[in-house]
Amino acid sequence: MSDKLPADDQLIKQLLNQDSSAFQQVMDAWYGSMYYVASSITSDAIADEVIQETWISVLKSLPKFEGRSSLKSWVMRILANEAKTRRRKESRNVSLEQIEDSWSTDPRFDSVGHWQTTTSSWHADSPDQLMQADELKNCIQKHIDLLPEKQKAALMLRETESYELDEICNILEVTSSNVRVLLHRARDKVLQVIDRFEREGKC
Amino acid sequence: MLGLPSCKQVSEQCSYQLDEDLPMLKRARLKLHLAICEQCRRYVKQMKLTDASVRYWVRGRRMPSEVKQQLLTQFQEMNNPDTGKKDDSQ
Repeated sequence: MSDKLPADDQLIKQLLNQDSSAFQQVMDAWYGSMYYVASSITSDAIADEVIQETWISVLKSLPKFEGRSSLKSWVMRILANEAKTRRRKESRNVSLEQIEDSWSTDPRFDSVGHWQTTTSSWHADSPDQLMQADELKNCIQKHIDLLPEKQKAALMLRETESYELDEICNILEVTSSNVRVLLHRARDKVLQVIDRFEREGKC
Repeated sequence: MLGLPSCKQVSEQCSYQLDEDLPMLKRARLKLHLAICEQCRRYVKQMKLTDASVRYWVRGRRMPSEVKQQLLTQFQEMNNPDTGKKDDSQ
């Protein structure tokens, strides 16, 4: 998880100078973000293929990169476009109405929207402390995979910290108010997963 | 009461706030609600930690070595088209 990459201009110079170790470093550093973007727009099965194609286009067009955005944003934009052209045709579309339905009857709240149940207090204050348990990581993975497709995609695109909200709207073809709802429902679901794990020690 | 959001609305607004600022009046009402509601304070804290944890989890994924190897080979061939061709012809 080496995020200590050289500054963009340095990195670009190294890549153009055939520096394999710089290339390895940047592939490693951005792999997590790239994987979850590619897999949520297309599928797990072809995510790595999309990443490979993206890197090839990136390397080919790197001499023409003008530096109007950061190198990472530029790479992530190429990735999203690459993934969109490969997007599954038969996407399982879950309507927002369905999501709103379950939210309107959420048993954690009473009829005027006050808490009826309480979440437990968690043992950790930071992500690295909280995520120490592999079981929790696996549990989060499992439940993120079970999210409705657009919720999952919105969450993954957002949490890779690579896209602005309006870019996510364009990629997912939803309005900005929809994307906010998708993000809240997805995060709330993960929060509940962590809470159950904290309370019961199981997924 | 003062047009304060309900707990349920607070739970949504605190997620929105992770992505962009709420309008000033909404933000002030949210703050007021949080000042008097311990349960929501806890939820907001957990929402932030959840968000940070998902980011942490995303960054932790490792690249499969065969994918990396293939790309490295392509990288080297791309930059040295001559060596690539020589290898092919041999």
